[in-house]
Amino acid sequence: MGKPWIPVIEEDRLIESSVRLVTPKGLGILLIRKKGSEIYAISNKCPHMGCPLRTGILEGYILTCPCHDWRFDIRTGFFLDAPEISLAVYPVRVADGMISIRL
Amino acid sequence: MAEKKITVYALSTCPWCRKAKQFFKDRNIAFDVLDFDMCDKQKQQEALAVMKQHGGGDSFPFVIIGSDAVEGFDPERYCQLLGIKP
Amino acid sequence: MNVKARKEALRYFFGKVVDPMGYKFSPDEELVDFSLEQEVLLEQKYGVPYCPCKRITASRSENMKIVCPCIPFNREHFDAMKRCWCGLFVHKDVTDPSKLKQFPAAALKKG
Repeated sequence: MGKPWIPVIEEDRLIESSVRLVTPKGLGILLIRKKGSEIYAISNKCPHMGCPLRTGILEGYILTCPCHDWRFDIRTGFFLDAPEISLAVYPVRVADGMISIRL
Repeated sequence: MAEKKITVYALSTCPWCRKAKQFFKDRNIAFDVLDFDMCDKQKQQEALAVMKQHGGGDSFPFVIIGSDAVEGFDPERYCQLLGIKP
Repeated sequence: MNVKARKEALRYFFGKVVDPMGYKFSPDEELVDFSLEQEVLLEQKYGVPYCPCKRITASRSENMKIVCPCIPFNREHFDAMKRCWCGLFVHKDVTDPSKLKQFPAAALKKG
């Protein structure tokens, strides 16, 4: 059996190009809607020193950590300067006006 | 042969800078020390200008021996420049 | 937070960061202890655990490249030395770090 889909937020509450923190099962996860149904879910915790990425700067698909400027691709979670290091990325599903994450 | 002037540019936080200083101490070779992070702004600017002139400035230790410069703790290179046995 | 506890915290964070890049803490425990302590003191002073052997500049973008572990921003140079500049980290296959040489990045270009 696969991991379950956890509903996290109503679809109409996630604004385009915004970064929103949700905490299913107590995990800090950032939901980012680029446009329409293009939504990404990544860990809120920078793998460098655990800084919250929520207040980082999003430019295109790149999220920059506010602490030490580590840059991540929100599509893959890869740290741009060393792709061996990455953020956890979670599958996202939108159904019946609800956004769910598979954890 | 005139002795070469030696200056060790160092950071007080850097373990390899300590090793570089110790290298010259152990051999009773006279040398000057500039602890970059302990200097005032003006002294730092002056030191940085000298380091840059010799192709360095970002990494420590930076050792100037005569007209040559060595970035890093490199005892073999120090010996070579001083004409002494390692 | 006291220095000892923060050193342990940095050890925990950095160990996890360098592992996938093929590095580990140097077996030279004395050097590791000293360098981590310097990083904690630098963090207390500047808010950032900078490399203890690199010059802190007036530029944030330059400074962010010398935040420990700075391996991602110096990969070719450090891989060639099998250690990072300050020696806190070495390649996983290194058992005797005293055999490793510290040489400038410019030496790579000369060949």
